[in-house]
Amino acid sequence: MAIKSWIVQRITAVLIIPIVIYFFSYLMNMTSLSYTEIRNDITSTPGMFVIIVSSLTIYLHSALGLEVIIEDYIHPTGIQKILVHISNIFHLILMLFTISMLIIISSTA
Amino acid sequence: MINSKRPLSPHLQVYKPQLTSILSISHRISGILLSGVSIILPIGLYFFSFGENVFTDFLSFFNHYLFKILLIFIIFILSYHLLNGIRHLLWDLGIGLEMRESYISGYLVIFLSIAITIILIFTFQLQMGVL
Repeated sequence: MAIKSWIVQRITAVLIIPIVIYFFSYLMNMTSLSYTEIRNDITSTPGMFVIIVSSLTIYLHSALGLEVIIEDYIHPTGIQKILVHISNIFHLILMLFTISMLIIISSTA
Repeated sequence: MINSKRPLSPHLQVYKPQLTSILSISHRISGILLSGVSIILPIGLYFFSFGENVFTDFLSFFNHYLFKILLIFIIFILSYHLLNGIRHLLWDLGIGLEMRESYISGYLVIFLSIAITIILIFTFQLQMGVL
């Protein structure tokens, strides 16, 4: 399990490198775009794909990273397990919220 | 046998600070902070879903100087975590594990993250007038 987490943490890390570069380059061009243009980008198939894959990757990487930190610094196993669960639930909520917002934006477009 | 008084790894309070150990703990601290920052994605989409006026109001928050300082800090920790993460990935491939190499890459990460932050501040200023 720990080895599996270790591998997933590395794979998501590699995926996040182009994601961060892409997001920053998009943010820099955002002022030249109108609200409608941004909405069209977000609701386009590639746009939705990028945001869904990004949120999956970022929140998985974040949850796994926090899990390792909690396991290293919080020693009582009971509290440790509860904190890991809280962190995982919180990350899942953020991911589902991101996808829900995408659905709402695309349905009102 | 579990003895709660036993010192447990990585007992930072008895660890002599060195560049390599400071960078290692900074990677974790920046990771925790970025986990918090990641909330900006669903929040941004949430305000975006209410239409142009609400989204413009949301963006105008970033005109406040406190948000600008926060944004610069976020850019810095993101650049740092990304570059130090690449350093960790190279270590996993067995590259740069020698003591001298890890110090060189450590200084390189600090220098490049500061350089990227400065470049991005100027680029954001030119492109958006945000910073």
